[in-house]
Amino acid sequence: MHNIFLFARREYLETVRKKSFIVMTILLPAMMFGFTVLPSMVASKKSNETQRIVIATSDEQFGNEVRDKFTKPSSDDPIPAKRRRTDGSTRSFEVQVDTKVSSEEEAALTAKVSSHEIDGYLWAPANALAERKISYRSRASSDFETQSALSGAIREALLRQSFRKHGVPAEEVSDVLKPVNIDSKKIENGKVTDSSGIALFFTALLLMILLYVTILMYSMSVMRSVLEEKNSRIFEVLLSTATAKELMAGKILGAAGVGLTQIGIWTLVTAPLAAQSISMFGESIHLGLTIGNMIFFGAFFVLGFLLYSALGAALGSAVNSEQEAQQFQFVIMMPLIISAIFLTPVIQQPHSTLAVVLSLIPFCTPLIMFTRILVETPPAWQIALSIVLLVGTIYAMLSICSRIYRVGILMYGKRPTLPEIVKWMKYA
Amino acid sequence: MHTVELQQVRKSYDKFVAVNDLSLNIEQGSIFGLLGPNGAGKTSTIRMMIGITVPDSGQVRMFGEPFTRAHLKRVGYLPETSGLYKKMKVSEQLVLFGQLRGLSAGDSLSRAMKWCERMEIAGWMEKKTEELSKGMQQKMQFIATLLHEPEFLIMDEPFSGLDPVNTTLLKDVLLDLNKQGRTILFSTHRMDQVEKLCSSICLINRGQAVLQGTLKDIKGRYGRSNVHIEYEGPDEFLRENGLIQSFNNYGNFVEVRLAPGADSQRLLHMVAQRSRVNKFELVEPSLEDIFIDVVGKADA
Repeated sequence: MHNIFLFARREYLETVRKKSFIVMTILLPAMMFGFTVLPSMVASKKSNETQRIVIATSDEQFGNEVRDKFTKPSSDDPIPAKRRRTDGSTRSFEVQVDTKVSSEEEAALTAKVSSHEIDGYLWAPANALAERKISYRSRASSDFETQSALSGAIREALLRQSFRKHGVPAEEVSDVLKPVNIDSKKIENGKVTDSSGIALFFTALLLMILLYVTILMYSMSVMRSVLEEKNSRIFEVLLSTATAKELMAGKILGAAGVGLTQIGIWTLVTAPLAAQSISMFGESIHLGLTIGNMIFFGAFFVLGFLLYSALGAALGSAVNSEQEAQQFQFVIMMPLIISAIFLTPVIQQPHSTLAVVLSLIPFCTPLIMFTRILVETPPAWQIALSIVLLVGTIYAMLSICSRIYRVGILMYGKRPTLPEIVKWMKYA
Repeated sequence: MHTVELQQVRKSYDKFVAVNDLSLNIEQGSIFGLLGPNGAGKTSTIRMMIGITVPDSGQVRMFGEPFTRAHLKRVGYLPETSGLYKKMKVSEQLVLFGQLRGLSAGDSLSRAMKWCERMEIAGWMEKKTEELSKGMQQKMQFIATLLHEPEFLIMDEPFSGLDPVNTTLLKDVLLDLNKQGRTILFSTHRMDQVEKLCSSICLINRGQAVLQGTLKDIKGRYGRSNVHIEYEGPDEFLRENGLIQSFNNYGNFVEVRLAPGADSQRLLHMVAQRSRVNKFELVEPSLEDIFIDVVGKADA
């Protein structure tokens, strides 16, 4: 035990002092933040500009109705309240109605768009209205937000028009057109919670990527450091004082300590943030980062890491160079990649057979079971069973891998074949 | 008492037999030479001696008992290639090695300081190991094997990469330790380096002992059958008679190994007939000569 502690401490101190550790600790969350939260924040800021739009239509009433949708948001606004920015600003529009629909007017409007006088115009002559083939012409044809707002407004205006034709009173029309707002809430322990579906999705995605990256990163770093030590021939000296098992255990525990330190730092830093709502895709999102979740995160990191780092240590000991190692790395990465591929179906249907089966396969358990726990707490027996299976597999892998490791670290020169590695496992 | 006894020890890797039923005894307090060419099985033998690998058959005894890992606390092993953590500070690394051997951190550090001063690398203790030259790393590795004051020291090619000054430094330390009663095992293919140090040797080739005993006995067995001749003139004498078994000719200097039973005086007479003799000396064969002789016979 004393030796394991010495090796673990050495491993821990050496890694924590590395610049790469500090860089990763800061960079990884920054990158995740950058890839998810930042773009939507930037996007919502940008849309504060005023859009100047001309509605060119032969039907003035239709034009006015569309314009009113934009300029007079009312309580029964078909654009759901949620779509408004949390900072209180809405995308503002300046809409004019133009009843001239001649081809000269079309050319004139096109010229105005080109000269930045207006941002775009809706071309809706009578025949286009009849065929419901209205075109919107602007410089930014991919401004989906404006387009979707427009199409909503147009549809409502057309609906009103047709209701009017059938003699339905205006109040009744408004009533019919009142929007339905589905506000999804998670039920946990028999109580309706505050966390919304979309927030949960992003939290799950974020944490799962973080888990994926940390497990992969740390098991690879175990592999690389075993390889490095093998090449520096340090094992000859160490094996005259300690056993191969102690060496491997020390290395893995040291690296696990580093991983937990990193996760601990992230938890501490994000804890104040977690309580607050952040703005994402125009919604106020309350991240489901509870302490319980972070404990599960730590637990599944440790378990997943132990499983994959044992593989990493065995791999690092069996090969002679990074290039050789790369040919075998897929063995480690494959189950992780598979877990990542099935992430979306699992988040959407956390209780499906697929999700249950995947979460019970030990190599997928860390990522998939963790995701399931975040999205919808699975039955306790499933969590327990997955952990029991995982721990059993870890035990088996550690014992198999330590055998490979023990022989591998003293084998230099040629790359072992698979039958040779199998033979190593059988050595007493 | 014997510090180490190997009895019919055997180790094979697949079909290759690295050590073939080797038996040897290392007397307590002696300086023992495990000699042989590259690939003879020296390192494989050492690895079995200290439990890094387990022999396929045969027995290893240490300090008079069957080998157990507990004995390792009394052994210091300097491996052939230096094995150090490159990124660790010299002082930290030496402390770690001391702790692995059961010393406290404080003890390890004070002993490491003392040794670093003696080995003239005290100024480097706060540097990273990778910043040290190869020779300094070798000295550092050497210190790491000595920290716990082992009774039995195993030195696998200890002088490789060291300049003559440092070789002498290391040699003096080892002789000092031997005087204090510690047993030392040298393993090397550079026989000239340890010839003057060892009291007994075991010559191995292809995993088997080809010659072992005290150096005195072995040399005595071979007698003064070597002749060094410095001459001027033709060297036909080297070819024409049954007196010479083999020779190394360097131009004006030749090392001759006499045929068994040949009389050196007859050779002198023959050389003097046609050439001018500046020096004619009967010498003991060097270990290298003996080795080449023994191995040559075995291979023939």
